[in-house]
Amino acid sequence: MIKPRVRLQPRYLLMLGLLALAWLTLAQTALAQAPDATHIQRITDRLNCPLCQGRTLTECEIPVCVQMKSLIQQKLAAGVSDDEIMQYFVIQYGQQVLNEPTAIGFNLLVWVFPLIGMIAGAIIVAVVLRNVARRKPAEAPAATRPLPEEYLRRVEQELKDF
Amino acid sequence: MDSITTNEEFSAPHEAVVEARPIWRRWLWPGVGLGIVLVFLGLLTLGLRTAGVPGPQAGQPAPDFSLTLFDGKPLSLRQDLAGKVVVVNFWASWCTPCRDEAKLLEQTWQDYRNKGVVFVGINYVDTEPEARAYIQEYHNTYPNGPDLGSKISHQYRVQGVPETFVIDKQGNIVGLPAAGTSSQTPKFTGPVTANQLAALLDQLTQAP
Repeated sequence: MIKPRVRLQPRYLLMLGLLALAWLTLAQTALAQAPDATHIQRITDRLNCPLCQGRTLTECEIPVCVQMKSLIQQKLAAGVSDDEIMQYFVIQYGQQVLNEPTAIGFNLLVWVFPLIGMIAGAIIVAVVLRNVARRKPAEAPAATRPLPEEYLRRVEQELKDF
Repeated sequence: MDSITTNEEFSAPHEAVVEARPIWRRWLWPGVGLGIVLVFLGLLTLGLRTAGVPGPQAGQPAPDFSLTLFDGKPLSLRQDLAGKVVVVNFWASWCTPCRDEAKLLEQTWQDYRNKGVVFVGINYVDTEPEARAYIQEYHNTYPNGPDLGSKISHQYRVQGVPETFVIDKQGNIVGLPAAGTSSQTPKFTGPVTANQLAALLDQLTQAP
């Protein structure tokens, strides 16, 4: 056993305690300010700009998006839940406002097709690999096959002539 | 030479296994693949058919629509406005050119409301508080409502705001002279001018 060089004295403990307290206070004030911006972004990340292709509300600064973001802030301040806000925007702008389509009905295909594609791809790769593995013994490596006499003779001849 | 003969021996039983597989098993996977492709093509056709519905065309019946106005009342083109000349204006609060025509639209509506003309404002991709503030700011009193889910603007192939369609008493889209060509356009693109609108409405209200 190695003895610790510094023994924990009460004053060290007190200092540590004070540091922890200071850190906690700082962290708490930081957290108290943070939720608004991150909370709004959690929603704007899930919504598309209704006028531009493939851009989320977070990334978009055209007037309607700025208005939408301010509306989200107002609704959050009024105590409206995230889900209710999402629903409100779907009613206003249609399903296409959702960055991730809801997995219901026809939209389910968007989720299912990539999965089917991946499984089909994996099956194709597996089948091809199996066939290659089976066929391999049939093709003896070229190096082990003896060269026909004719070639050997010609090589010898060419070397001699060179 | 030796190795080749051995290989033939190897492959012979394998071939036999393939031959012995029942027909349904041989066709199972190609069948599943074909099925998936067919389903996909079917859905694609369905999607293209819905997308292929023609937009509003000059002289053709105006696509029917209904909306809930900002004051909560429902309004349907075919049911409520049959036999009237209808001016359908797509607008948004964030649209600067819309503000150029806002006062004129209200003024023209006041001038023609007793002559069988109805104005309908359709609020395109907007936010409710700003839209309501806009209506108040310009004292717009004609029926006005949000285009929920952007359904009407899709039907009318709206490409930007403002756009204004005029529908005659028979319910057809009025063809307007297109600048630079002899063909007609089904809509005013950009803010309307007082002369354009008044001349057109005079002509339409007097027509049978």
